[in-house]
Amino acid sequence: MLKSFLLENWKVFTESPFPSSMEAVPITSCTKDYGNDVVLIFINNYPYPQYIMKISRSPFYGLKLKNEYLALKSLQKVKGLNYYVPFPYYCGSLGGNIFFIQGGIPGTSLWRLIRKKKSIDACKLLIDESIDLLIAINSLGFSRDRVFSEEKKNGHFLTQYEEEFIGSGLSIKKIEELKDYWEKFEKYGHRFFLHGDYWQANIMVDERGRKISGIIDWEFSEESASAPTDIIWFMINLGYCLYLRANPEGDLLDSFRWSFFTPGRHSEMLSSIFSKYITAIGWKQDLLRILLETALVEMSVRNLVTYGRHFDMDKICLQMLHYAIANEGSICIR
Amino acid sequence: MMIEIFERLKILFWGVEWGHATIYYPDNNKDTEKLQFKQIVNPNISSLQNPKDILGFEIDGRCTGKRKVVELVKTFPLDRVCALYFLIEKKTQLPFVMDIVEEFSLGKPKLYGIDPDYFFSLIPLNGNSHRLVEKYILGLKNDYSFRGTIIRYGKQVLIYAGLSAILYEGFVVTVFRKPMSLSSNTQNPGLKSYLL
Repeated sequence: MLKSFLLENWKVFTESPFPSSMEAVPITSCTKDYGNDVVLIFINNYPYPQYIMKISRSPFYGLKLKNEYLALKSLQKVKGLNYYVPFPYYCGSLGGNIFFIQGGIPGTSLWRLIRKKKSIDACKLLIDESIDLLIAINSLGFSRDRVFSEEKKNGHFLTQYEEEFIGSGLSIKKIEELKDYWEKFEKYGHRFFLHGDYWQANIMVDERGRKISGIIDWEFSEESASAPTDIIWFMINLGYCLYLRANPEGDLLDSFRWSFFTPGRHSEMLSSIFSKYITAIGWKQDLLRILLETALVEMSVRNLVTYGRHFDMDKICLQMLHYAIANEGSICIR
Repeated sequence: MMIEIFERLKILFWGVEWGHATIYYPDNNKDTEKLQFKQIVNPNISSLQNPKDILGFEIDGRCTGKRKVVELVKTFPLDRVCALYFLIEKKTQLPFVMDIVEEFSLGKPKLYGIDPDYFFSLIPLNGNSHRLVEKYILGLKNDYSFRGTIIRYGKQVLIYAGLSAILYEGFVVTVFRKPMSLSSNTQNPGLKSYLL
């Protein structure tokens, strides 16, 4: 069984001696077939799981885990960043399902901390540190083994799924404009290493809430991307997290309208984050609208490109894309 | 419903070469001691030559079909069984289940509490560090409303007082045979390593 399987193969998996005690705790954060089963492995009475085991629920969706394993292996070689990255211990497959054992990162998530703290000012330093880390990640220039298809990164899916976008109500003129952006990004020549799901729940903060302790969930990471879309996903979710503080039942689309299209303290905060990021990577400030739309296009078909079907988040991203296009003039992040 | 529960539980059988799961459950619509059953085929195990069976029993709070459960376990060809599990509602049903498990001595039984609050967690309850684990899982909850905070503190008190059993919506008792090992990898071609 699970625990015995781990103990039986412990030395192979972790290259460390047998623990004096071990508990394997299965948790499931997503019951859909494309999700993973996650097992928290507690050893030697440590209060946090020191190892995390992810198991793909269906062999069809195992690529994400293999991709994460390869990304973490590459990142281990980057001095300074390797401290923030879970150690990739072992990746294998059993009965067709891929499993991946990685090091656990202690602490709580930045998402929880922002939701919990009475004042957002207490989290500002951590948000700043997250941006510094994102700049460091995105600026990495190396290649590694790939498991996803090439189409994902070069934007050809705009042509491939053109009918889908037209069917959703996007004009042909807009699609052509978006294709132009992609081509310009390609010609620009900048290449970015993307985390692929860089949001506050994947940023771990130490127990005292004073510094970032690690970045988790690298399943959608990719190298050599032509557009740095991580920053957009970070900003959309930061807006959502701030929105939930005042509206606990609010949804992502409402928060998107509130944080990107309604002037206020939150939009100023997002503006300063974007300004810091875009200056650091050497791009122009006025690219926000283009980058926002480009990122939402990518996110609305990401799963379709990778797995041949839409997941729930795709639909929400498509709705955000439509809203962003319809309200291009009133975006208040500068 | 049965399949949904099993889909969540089957992670506990990771590393066990099971081909079928036969799950017995009471018919809640009828006042009868008879048990219904469902069989689930493991789609990922077709390459194995002699896959084993998982035998599962869902036992309701009234212990419907108690005698039938004992009879079934006795008559089932145990050499074909690689794991046995019981899903029970209350901890008071534990002695009944443990009696069956011990009689057939497949291995050391493991008890899990089903935590309904953080998605679907199966918290091991008969380990040395179960309080630490319970405390950690409790901390994962995202409800920061006044009500959520009160509930969290209440739960913490129950854990420290050793009364955490009332927090769970059910319990799972599992017992199993020896799992797959990397050392026997040649006999189990299903286990592949990507360690480069």
